[in-house]
Amino acid sequence: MTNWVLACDTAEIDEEDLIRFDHEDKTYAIYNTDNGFFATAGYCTHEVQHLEDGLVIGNVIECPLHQGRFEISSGKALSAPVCEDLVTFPVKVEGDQVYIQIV
Amino acid sequence: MAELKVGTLIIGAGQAGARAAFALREKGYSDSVCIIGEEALPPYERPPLSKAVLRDEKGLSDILVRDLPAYDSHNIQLMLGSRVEKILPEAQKVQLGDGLMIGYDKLILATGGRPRQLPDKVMPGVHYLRSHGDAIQLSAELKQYKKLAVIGGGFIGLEVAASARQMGLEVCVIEAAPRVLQRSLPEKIAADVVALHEAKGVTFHCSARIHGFVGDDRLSGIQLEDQLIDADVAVVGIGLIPNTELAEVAGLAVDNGICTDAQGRTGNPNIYAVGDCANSYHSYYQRSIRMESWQNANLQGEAVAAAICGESTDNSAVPWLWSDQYDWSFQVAGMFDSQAQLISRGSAEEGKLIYFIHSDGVLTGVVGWGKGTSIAKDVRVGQMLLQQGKNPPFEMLADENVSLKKLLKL
Ligand SMILES: Cc1cc2nc3c(=O)[nH]c(=O)nc-3n(C[C@H](O)[C@H](O)[C@H](O)COP(=O)(O)OP(=O)(O)OC[C@H]3O[C@@H](n4cnc5c(N)ncnc54)[C@H](O)[C@@H]3O)c2cc1C
Ligand code: FES
Repeated sequence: MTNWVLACDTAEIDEEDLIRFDHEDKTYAIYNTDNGFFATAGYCTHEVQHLEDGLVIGNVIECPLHQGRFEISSGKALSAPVCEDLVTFPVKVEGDQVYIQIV
Repeated sequence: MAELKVGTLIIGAGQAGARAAFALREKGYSDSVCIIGEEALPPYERPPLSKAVLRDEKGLSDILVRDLPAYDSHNIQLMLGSRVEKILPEAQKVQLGDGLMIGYDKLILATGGRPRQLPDKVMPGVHYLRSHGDAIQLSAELKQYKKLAVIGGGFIGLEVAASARQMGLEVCVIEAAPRVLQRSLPEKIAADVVALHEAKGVTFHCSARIHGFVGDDRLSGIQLEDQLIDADVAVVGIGLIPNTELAEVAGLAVDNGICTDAQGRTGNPNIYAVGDCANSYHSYYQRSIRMESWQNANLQGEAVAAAICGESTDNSAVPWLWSDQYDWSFQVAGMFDSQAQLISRGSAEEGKLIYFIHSDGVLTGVVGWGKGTSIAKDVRVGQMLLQQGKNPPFEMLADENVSLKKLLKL
């Protein structure tokens, strides 16, 4: 069953930035980029580190702990030390609200 | 006996050696790659050794640079528990401890370093911390004993002090210099680090000279000039000696590390050096620097792989490192210069304190100290400002209301 969940208001995420969203024991990262809003799993795949303090540069999120990088739209791991991709989630914006689709 | 011959042979199964091997494959290198490591363990990350491994929160499998199947899938051979005793550069061969000879087209020295030792004879209870084995032994003693003396107030010493306090030991730090972190961080940050440790119960003895370890069958104390420190475990963290002996005997230039250009080439066209053992030309600083950091080990591994694959990238990244203590951390980008003027942003109480360091009016480094990773983003932007040669007005750097990211666009 797929499930659209309200994550936040669009205004809650600064331009080229991200926020943390916790829902039912799971943690996500929601991004506002030049290409729109995106969502990925919240934790870096290298160690247990939430990406919320990371830096968004264009379509890339850089982990705050060791600067491992992922492509935001695809979750693809781009540079060491990360080698495992991030899970991504579909996002839709309705009015000024951001929803993510959770399986 | 048939002699082995590989395309690229890497001596040292550590951070830099492993990164170089995988970077070769990422760049399409198709010849054989073999890593020889003295330790019996596959390459692992050392930063957790003074943190989660010491506190028993992480096992070996949690800290591997890459898991074992990745070596198979990238066709990287690991020869562990084998020490290279000699390089024969003319013959392009190395000799192992058991006499086996291995030929190479390209050789990468990634031999790291070993802890600098105190002249005193070491007795049970006195530890050095470099390897996973060292961390396991120390961890076992921290669980069994009560009073830890940390000798040396550098990054590793302070991380061990924090971990031991978290494990419930009484901890003191003995430092020969007038203050901790003297060579690497400004006084203003070091004072905040010390304040946090003191609030957690750590005591400090600075400007202290050690006269010897006291004890019969094991450590019971440390004799300073003017007092006896009661301790049943000690960790000595007073610096690192780069492992350069193989290079020296092979006739390569060595000067506080194996001398290389910005892509890790030594004077021999087939031999490269990376990581803690290398003193490499740094394009950003336009001089040779030997760095002991995790980022440097990774980046130099990548630079050498690029060189072997005929690419022309070099090591020009602004240096960056971090240290975690309790639930706080600092990150440093650039290099500390004790003459620098300091500009601060934020406050210690908020757990967010950033210093931009200038000399001759030029931005030269940034250090942040805060809870968790709260300072990471600002330090990273500082690192990008440095990398791009930007020199924003000082009052903007100091003003918390100015978005640092916007300064990148100035
Ligand atoms: C406790 C600790 C905590 C740290 N914390 C941080 C941190 O928080 N942040 C940070 O940026 N950096 C940190 N560092 C530094 C970082 O881990 C090192 O800079 C990095 O490991 C260097 O990588 P390397 O590959 O050059 O050397 P190493 O990782 O030391 O690997 C070298 C390997 O070569 C092997 N070797 C040597 N000679 C031979 C030979 N003749 N034959 C075969 N094998 C050989 C050694 O056994 C060793 O396994 C820490 C280091 C330690 C020890
Ligand atoms: S935890 Fe993200 S790069 Fe290490």
